[in-house]
Amino acid sequence: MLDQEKTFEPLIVAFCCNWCSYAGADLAGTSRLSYPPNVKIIKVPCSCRVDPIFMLRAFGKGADGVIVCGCHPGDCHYSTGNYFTRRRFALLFSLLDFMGIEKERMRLEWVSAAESAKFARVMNEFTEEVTKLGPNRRLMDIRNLPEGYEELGRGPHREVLDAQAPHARNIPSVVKIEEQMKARATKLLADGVVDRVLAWKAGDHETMPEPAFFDHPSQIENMVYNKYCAHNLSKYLMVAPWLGGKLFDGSTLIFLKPCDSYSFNQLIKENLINLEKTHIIGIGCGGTVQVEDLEEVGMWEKCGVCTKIHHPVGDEIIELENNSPRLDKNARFATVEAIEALSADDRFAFWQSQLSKCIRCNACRNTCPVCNCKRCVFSNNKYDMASKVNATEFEEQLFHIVRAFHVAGRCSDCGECSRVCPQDIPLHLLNRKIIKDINEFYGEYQAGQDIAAPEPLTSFDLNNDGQAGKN
Amino acid sequence: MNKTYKIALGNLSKLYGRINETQQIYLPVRRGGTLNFEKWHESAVVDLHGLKTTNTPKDLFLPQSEDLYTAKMDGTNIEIITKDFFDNAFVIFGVKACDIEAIAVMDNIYLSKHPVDMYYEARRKNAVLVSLACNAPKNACFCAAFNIDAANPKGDVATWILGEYLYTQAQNGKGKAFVEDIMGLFEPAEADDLLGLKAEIAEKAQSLPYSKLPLESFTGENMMKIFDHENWDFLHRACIGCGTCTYTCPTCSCYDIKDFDKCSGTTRFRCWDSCMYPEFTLMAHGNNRLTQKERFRQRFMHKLMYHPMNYDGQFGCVGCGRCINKCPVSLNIVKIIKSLGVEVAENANA
Amino acid sequence: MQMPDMLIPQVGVVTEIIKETPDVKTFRVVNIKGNKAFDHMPGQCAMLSIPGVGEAMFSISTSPTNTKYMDFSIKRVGVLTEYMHDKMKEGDHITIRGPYGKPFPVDTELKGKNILFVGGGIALAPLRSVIHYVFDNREDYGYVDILYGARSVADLVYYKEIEKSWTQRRNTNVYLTIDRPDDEWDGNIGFVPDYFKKIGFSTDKVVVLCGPPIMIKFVMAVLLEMGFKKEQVYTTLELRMKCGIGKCGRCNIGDKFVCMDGPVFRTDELDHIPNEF
Repeated sequence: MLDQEKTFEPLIVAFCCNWCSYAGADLAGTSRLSYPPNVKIIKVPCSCRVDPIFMLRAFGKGADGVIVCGCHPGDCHYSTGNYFTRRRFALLFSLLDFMGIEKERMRLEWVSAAESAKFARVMNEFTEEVTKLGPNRRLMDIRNLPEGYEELGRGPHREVLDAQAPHARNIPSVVKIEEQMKARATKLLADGVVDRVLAWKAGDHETMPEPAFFDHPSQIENMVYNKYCAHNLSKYLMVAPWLGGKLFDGSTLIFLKPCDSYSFNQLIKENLINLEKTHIIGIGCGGTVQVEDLEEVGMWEKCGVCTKIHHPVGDEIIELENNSPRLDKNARFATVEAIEALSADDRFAFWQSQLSKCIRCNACRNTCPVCNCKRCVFSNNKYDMASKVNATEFEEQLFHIVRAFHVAGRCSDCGECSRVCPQDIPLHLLNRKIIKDINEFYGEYQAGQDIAAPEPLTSFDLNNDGQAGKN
Repeated sequence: MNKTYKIALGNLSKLYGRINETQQIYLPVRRGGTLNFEKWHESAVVDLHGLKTTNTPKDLFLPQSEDLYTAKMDGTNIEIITKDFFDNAFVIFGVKACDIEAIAVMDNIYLSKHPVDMYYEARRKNAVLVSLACNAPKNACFCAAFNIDAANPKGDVATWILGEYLYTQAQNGKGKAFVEDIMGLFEPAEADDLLGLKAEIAEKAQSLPYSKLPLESFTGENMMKIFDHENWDFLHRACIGCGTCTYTCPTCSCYDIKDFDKCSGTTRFRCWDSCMYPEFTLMAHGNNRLTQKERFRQRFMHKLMYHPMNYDGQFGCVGCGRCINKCPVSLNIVKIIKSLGVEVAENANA
Repeated sequence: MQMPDMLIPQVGVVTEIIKETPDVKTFRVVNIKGNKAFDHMPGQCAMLSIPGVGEAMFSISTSPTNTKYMDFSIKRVGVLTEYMHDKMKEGDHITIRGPYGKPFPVDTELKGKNILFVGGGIALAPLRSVIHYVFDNREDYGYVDILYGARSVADLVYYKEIEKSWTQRRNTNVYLTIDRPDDEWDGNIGFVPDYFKKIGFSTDKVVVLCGPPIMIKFVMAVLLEMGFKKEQVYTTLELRMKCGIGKCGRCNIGDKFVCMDGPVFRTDELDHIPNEF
């Protein structure tokens, strides 16, 4: 065993910016400074070019450590690229750490073209550190894990799971605004202000209402609004490319619960909604409930910790009679904190036991209001990507990490991803971790609150970012 | 009449352990808050009282992802390295009547027509199916609509939970051999003990809200009438194009074949696919199902029309109710059956 | 050793690559021992694949009477075909499995009949298999008419073969047409359906029709107008396929699986399934 450890040669992938560290590596070579042959360099035009997928993919294909090298802050060839890199990787490393993955395996370093000595030193140090850590096990095919890793599934993370159970004790407030909504919808349709209404239609059973469009006042009688209307309607007004169909030319009335209105506002911010053809009515919400076998199981976790009672956007508001905040603002982070408090092994076990249940149905992606790319990167059939179950289980991990990351700073915490997951994976915890980090590193930010506010991942603070989230 | 035996529920883990000595045993296990069929081990949280697993037993015959072969490339030369077919005996314990029927549907698709699917066949013939009657079918269950008897599940061996005992009866030769092997842990029982329970289950199953559905119109001669029906225009409207219904469906059997570069060679594998995805029928020169309406319609037409037309009227739905529980936007096959079944029947009478 | 599953291919070698048109090449394939990979009937298909690139269904454009090799005439349209066109060299390996699908009824319904082949563009590839089969069993069939059109002279697949061999056969007429005028072309100019009408075939024959959907649609209209019955017309469909054995589900239309119940259909059969092809 000891012999094996001695002979372990890690594979290190280094993403180097063309304008600085790549030249630095060159200079190290010409200056006869030695750095380990384990390091394989991939040249990128800017450290900002490195998508989290690149890093994860490298690990998935057998890398034991990944390092990203860019220009010193202020020296970026493209002025600001590395400021974005800095924020991006601070959040990514923190997220991976949250999932129990050794963050010592990944690093972000600033190396200029002249710093050949620094380049060699950094590579020597990093290789040594990764050698000490041993082979990468956690960011690879879970099925290939050595015996014993499976046994991690029994730690204290069980308690965290229990905290995820439906909030049976929270009882949703009774909502009595359905008639008011119907009246407004009928009026607006009859007056020709809107051509159709997006709301919920009664199902064949009380617990089964479904999102629906109403084109005529006579159809409005089928409209319902109650505690079973959990679906976030925001995305239906965006032309979801995979659904096909024709673009609707008329104007639409949309009813938005407070949490939906944050998602909707985010879509407005991203220029995905034609506001001129949209009439928004914000509606109060008393919390929605989970249904199983047509029976109420309890309030959704997302509603149990919800604090959103106002609508950041709306032409009209239909309020509840008693609108008061239900919980303190940071209650939603309790589960995230509970996981943070676990050991790295237990965090890993927790996420492994959760993510290994994934069946890649894409419900989380398709329902997520900010998963709105015209073509998802996972729908690309090249480069081993797939929008379905892949040949290695690592791909499921990769999918969820990348998805959480691609909505970072845009996720309004509507909780739809966890609500729709058929395997009850608490996916929203990944997003919430990122939200919590953003709040702590770069100041409080709520996506969808204010369309003029700069987004945390596409902005930077020259003075303070250096400290925040330094790995 | 097959002999009846029973074992105290408290002794079940002994039974699992005994079976586990010679073959792997899969059964409903609660892990990470979800009930799924998983391999038994001593600390697994087995839950036979849970109604349905999220994933269905089809996972064990048609895994989500299965390697077919590896192609080693040497320049432009190719070497195909096949792998052995699955060859380990295993037991699936606690399969409900609907899921057992679903396996019969899968058998038809994969085994009844030449050429058979040899990967599926290898797993299928190595498996012993131990079914379990549903003591408490719930509102979303509608197996009764397809004449599936929740009180008398099929399979190689059938079991019932009555009081503090698990009763068992072999259903065929394979089941008999299996029961004889583990006989030592059982005690003889009377089949009549079960009569009361069976009557109770049957009554419950018949009284559920979806137990009677208007399925009469779903016959071959109505295919085009149902295909062209205008109701599809709004039935599909809420669909978000995810694969939840397909992947949690016990009879959905479509798959994709893809490549993955494992560095040591290109692995060609097959994985579950969903007709709800736009990529499903996408080919180089275009797509023959351009909108979600067409994809949505395909799934339900296949279950309710095309499959029965090809297999003697056997519906491609067994009423397990998973789509009712799992669809993100509360769509499900019952809504489709009710909407189209009633209208087509009415038009026919009119 | 157990027989391998139908999804396991054999390794083949591309012995010759013939450039037919600017975007069509014919790939000649044998197995690793230099023999024909398997027997087939006209109209059947095979799955060709380059591991790591893709796998797709192609119709076999040589006749069963050719016992030495199989030809695949392939247009450059997608990921796999781009690779085959741009990167593949003679002598390269390729994987092949098959044969798949129901062939044209050459030994039953077509036997003893006069046959009219109508093709457009790359769609001559599946017809060529039948045409060769008919030529090689000439006594079994009556008169043969071949009507073939393409966008331009350069786009006529097998042009040399048509000129040298097909036109020389007895009891055989070949009609060619191109869409746009060309200085080097003294034949007919115009679309296939119009040319069809102009020639005016008698209805005492069986029609084998293959081409782009729009051409099929208009030729069908002309056929019906001229008194042909749908029962006289055979065509072959193209859909995305993965398994080739009626299991993977993607070529399902109505109660038919194109890979098993087709790709060859008598056009009256198509009236009874949804129009999703």
